[in-house]
Amino acid sequence: MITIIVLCLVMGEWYPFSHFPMYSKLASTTQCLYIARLDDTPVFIGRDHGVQPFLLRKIYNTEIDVLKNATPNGKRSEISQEQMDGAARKVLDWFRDKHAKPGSALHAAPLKLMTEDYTIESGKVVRTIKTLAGP
Amino acid sequence: MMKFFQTTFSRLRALLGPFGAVRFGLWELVLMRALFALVLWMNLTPKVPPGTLPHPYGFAKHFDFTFLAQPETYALCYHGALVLVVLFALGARGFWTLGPVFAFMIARASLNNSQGFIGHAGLVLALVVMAQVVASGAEWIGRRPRWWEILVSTKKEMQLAADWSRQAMIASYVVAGITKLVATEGEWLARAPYFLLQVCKVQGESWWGYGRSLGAGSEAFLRALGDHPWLAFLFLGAGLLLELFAFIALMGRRLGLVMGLSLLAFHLSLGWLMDLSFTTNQHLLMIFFINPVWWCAQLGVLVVALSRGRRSVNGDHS
Repeated sequence: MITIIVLCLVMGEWYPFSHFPMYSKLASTTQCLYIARLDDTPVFIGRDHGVQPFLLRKIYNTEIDVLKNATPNGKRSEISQEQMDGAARKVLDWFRDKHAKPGSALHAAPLKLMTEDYTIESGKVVRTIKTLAGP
Repeated sequence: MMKFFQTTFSRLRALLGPFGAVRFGLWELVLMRALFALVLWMNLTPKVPPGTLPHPYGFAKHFDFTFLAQPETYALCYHGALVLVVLFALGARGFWTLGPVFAFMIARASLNNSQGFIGHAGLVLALVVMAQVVASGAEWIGRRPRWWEILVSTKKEMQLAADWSRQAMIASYVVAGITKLVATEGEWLARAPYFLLQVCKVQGESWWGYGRSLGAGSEAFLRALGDHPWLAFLFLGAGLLLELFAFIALMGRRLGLVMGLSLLAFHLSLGWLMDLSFTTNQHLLMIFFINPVWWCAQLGVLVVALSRGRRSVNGDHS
């Protein structure tokens, strides 16, 4: 048991090892990414396209991490808005490439990548919806 | 006073049963093996993984696994893995059967996890498969196996594989607990009020992704967390303790049952409240820790013994 514990902690994310980071940070803000049409109606990617919704957030965070690691001090605040927009665009393109192929109902539809951000203010949850990438 | 503590301790000790690694019976080991093979079978999927590596992960940083994304190659490997799982269930040595299956799992997961997101759902199963393969090989160390022991499993090998599987599984819970403390510099529990946001996020993903809410239970939980922040401390504190002290499950059958049921309840509550059920973990807990068939058998033995005792008592009176 101790051997596997040590291997997991040392190797980090390296299948089959992992440091099992789910809910390990409990950040003061979090977000939910989703796909919407131009009129803001959501595309139910889980129900209609078999895409687990959290994948959008995970891919977006990976893109942000790549940008963050390329900054001089490795900080998210050093990433320009243009680069952030580019990361969001990549997520939207990923979804389009996989699930809005030519011939599909979504192919001609202009899509947006949206985020619902969550924070706590005065003990209450505040939700803010924003567009991350447009058509 | 001292006597009171001694009596309480000895009663508690008797209640907990013998400490140490559990010695399973042969029928239990065979049953565990068959059930484990079934779980493995259910987790092997015919879905061909992506053939690109936009964000190389794990072994994919060094090996090009994209050959596996060819539908014909994948179908061959997938069906080969299923055959090996069946052979394993029938008693073939884990080293030869699960070894290639483990390599297949690594290749598949490396491709899937190189897409920019890492999935954690099947990791515990992979750790248990690894433990079974290593245990099967390690059992040969220091002795010369008879020819048939090279191909077929022995009781000793199955016992070692079961022990190491249990340890691998528990290690994953302990690591999850340690990571929480390390990532927040020991302040994970102090951040418990922010757990509310995680529940909101999961509910948001359910709504925006599936067009449905997570259910009345989750809604009520969210309201309760908002109204009574101490609930988050209670819920997360219990979960953290369960993870950090999960190794207690390795200390005997009764403690294994108690911890197994507690961890199962932990997964079921997360499934109910946050749609995070980790069903493979639940199945593995049932097989390696809760082991309901053994407890039913014990109950059966007890009932038979009691009924025989009653019969003999009645016989004495007649």
